[in-house]
Amino acid sequence: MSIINYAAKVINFKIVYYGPGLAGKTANLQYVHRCLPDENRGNMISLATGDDRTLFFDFLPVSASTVRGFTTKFQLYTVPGQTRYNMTRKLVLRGVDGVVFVADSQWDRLKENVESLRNLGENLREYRLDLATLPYVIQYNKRDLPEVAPIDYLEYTLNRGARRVPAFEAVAVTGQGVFDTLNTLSRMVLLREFGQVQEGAS
Amino acid sequence: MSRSHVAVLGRWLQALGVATAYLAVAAGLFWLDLGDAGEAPAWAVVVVPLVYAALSLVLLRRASPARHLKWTGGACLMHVALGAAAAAAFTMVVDVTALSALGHALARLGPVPLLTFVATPMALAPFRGRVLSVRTTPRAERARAATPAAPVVPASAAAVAPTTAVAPTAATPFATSSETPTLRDPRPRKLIADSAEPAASSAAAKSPESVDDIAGDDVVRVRFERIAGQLPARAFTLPLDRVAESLREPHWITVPRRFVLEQLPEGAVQVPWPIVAAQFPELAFAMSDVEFRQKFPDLKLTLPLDDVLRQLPRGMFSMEPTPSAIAGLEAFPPPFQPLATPREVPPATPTSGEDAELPPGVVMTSAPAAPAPPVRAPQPSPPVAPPAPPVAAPVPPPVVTPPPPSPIVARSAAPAPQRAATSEVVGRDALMQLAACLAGAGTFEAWTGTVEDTPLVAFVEPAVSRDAVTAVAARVAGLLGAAAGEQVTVRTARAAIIVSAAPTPVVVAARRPGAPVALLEMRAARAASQAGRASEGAALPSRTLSALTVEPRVAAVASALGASFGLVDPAVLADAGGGARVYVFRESGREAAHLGQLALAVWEGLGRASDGDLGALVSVVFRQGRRRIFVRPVGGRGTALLAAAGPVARPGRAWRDADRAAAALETR
Repeated sequence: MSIINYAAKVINFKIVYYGPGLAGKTANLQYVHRCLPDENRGNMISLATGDDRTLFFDFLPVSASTVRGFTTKFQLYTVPGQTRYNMTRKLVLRGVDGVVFVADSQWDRLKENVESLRNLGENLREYRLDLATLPYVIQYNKRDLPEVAPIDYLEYTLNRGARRVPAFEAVAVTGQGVFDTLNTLSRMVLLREFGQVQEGAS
Repeated sequence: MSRSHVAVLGRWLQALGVATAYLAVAAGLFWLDLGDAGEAPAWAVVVVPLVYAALSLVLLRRASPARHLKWTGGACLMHVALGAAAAAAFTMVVDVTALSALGHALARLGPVPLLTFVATPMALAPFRGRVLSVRTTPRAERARAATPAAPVVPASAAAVAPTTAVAPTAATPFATSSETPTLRDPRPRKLIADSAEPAASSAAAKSPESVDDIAGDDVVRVRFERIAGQLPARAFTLPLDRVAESLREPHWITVPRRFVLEQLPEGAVQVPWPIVAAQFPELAFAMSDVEFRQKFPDLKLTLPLDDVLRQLPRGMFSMEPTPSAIAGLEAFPPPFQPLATPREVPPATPTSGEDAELPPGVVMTSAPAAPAPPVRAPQPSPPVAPPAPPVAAPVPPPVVTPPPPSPIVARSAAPAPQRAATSEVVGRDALMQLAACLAGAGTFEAWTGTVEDTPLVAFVEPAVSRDAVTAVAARVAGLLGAAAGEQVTVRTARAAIIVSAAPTPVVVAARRPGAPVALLEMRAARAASQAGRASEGAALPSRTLSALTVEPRVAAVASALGASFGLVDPAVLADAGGGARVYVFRESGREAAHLGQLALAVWEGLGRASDGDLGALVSVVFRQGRRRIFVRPVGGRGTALLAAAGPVARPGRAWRDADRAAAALETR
């Protein structure tokens, strides 16, 4: 749910990168952090274990365009992918405006993808949200690796819900597909907030 | 006729051939009237069971007494049957009574009973014990196993909304069969029809079936070797590679396709043991059915999905076409515009100082003698990361000692790697700078030393044998340079080893599968670039290769490789002795002999040395800018190698295509 500050003319949106462990959620945020101009990005907060697994969550505030006179700001979060941190994932999802589901394309991680997507749906239901209505996109990450599943099978397992959503091939560590994913989801969030008749975008 | 029927027919024909040869030789001996040459004692008949009992102890080690008894009984029956058949043949050759002929066949004609002892196990051999009994699974258990948990079937894809940005350009490994109708639902039609009924009746309608009840195109075949690692080796009397030969369909496991389809939406296909148990020969087991089920009650085999999908009809997973854009989205410009050049990742380690800390996950050791320093606890990132510092040009470490040029010698597999107990070839500070390039890519043990006269810097995951890795690295490092490029990635069954050319070659090794190989290749290349410019290397050792005729099937493989490697010309080369054959696929105008020599040098350096710690060699990939050279063994008799080279835009796809090409060449 977006937070509007009428005094400051700022709207805050919350976007969560969700997915199984080691799928590349943090890598997405790190690349965004590296590539945005200083005036558009804040400090990235990350709490990781020694082997670079996300312990709690990553957080990166970024600002974007002005819509209807309001400055739009996006708070990008990741969740810990490991199964045992489900309570953290639930907390991070509170008030979410859009979700990027980061899937690991490797053959041996497909089952984790399916379980994580199912877990996302369950956690959203606790907040009376639904993947059928919430703006969300899928990112098939690690497409540069040799042992990856074909896209049509990934689509078959992960993108055949009540509606098909945009999906992107990506290599997050090199940045391929990272901004395509983020921009599309951000626009979907804006579309949902402001409707189709949009004025004053700049 | 299905493959299993052909296999069964082949076994029977083989046994029949043995029996025919036996009869011909025995009848010949009888016709030559060799009765005076020797007469077996009467007790020769009595000892027949004892001989076969002793033979069973030799052939069926670790089998239960019941199986020994079964095999002995079967052999005795076969012995008698062969004797009776020989007696029948005797009556046709010479005019004797049936009783006299039987006496000659079993005892009186000395050489024939001995011949029977030899022919009996030979006639039984094709069945590998299957002729005696087949391991059957209780019907009730099969029923339970064949009814998996209800699959989650998402709602129809017909009600899709807007867009998808994915262009499914990756090679789809699906079969090209056009006979099977396109399915939008993973369940076959029968099950879809069932699903409309109440759940209880649907479950009742499913007949419990294992692969016994299904044949032909209704099954999915998986190479046994790809799932053998999931089986408990101690439950078998034979090594698993020999179990593979004894399967009902040697080297293949078959699974009902219906069973596979039901699980496909889950991203994994797991087969309960009872579904496939009947395909294993009973004599291969070191325990009874009951014992096996008690010890491994939840045994499930996870099938390799890439193999499975390859056998499913093309287009099975194609989704409905979707509009190209979400309505109204175009009204909002992309909110985020990235910089043209991303900022560099800030260096994770200081540049010098004895007390400098290693990057998280890197443990440093050195080759010679000094004990390894204690493992340092990984440093968690600070809660708030500082803004990225300005981009700074990396300073090449001055301490890396240039090695002597490595001679390229096709080393034989026999000699063990020699390690020189010399001092460190790279200083601690330089080692830390190189290690910083791997920060975040995993946990590695840093090492520096000389192996087989080749100085190396190695970063090896603790789970991987460092000695085995450095031995492999030393053998391939000499191939880098002008001969084969700036980086080589060796994949074995259990490890991925990346060697980057540098004055002191940089080695990164991680456990496979699971290692982020592409990421490690990039990091290794970065580390190597910091270490300085590599020497040009040496030329490959010259060897004479003769060109063979290119068969149409090889040409077909070349056209299949074109999708990844561009237009390639096929060639088949054989070495002077004719013991090795190389299938070469290279760009037009390129010399085939160089690739052939490179492939043979790789094979002699790595392939023949089956290192127990790393597993069998899977592939070797050299990188020359955008060009890649893939070398991998082709299964089958003798030494056969595949070498494919060309400009590659998608290395992953090229790797898979080379894998398929090797499989295609192997199957003929």
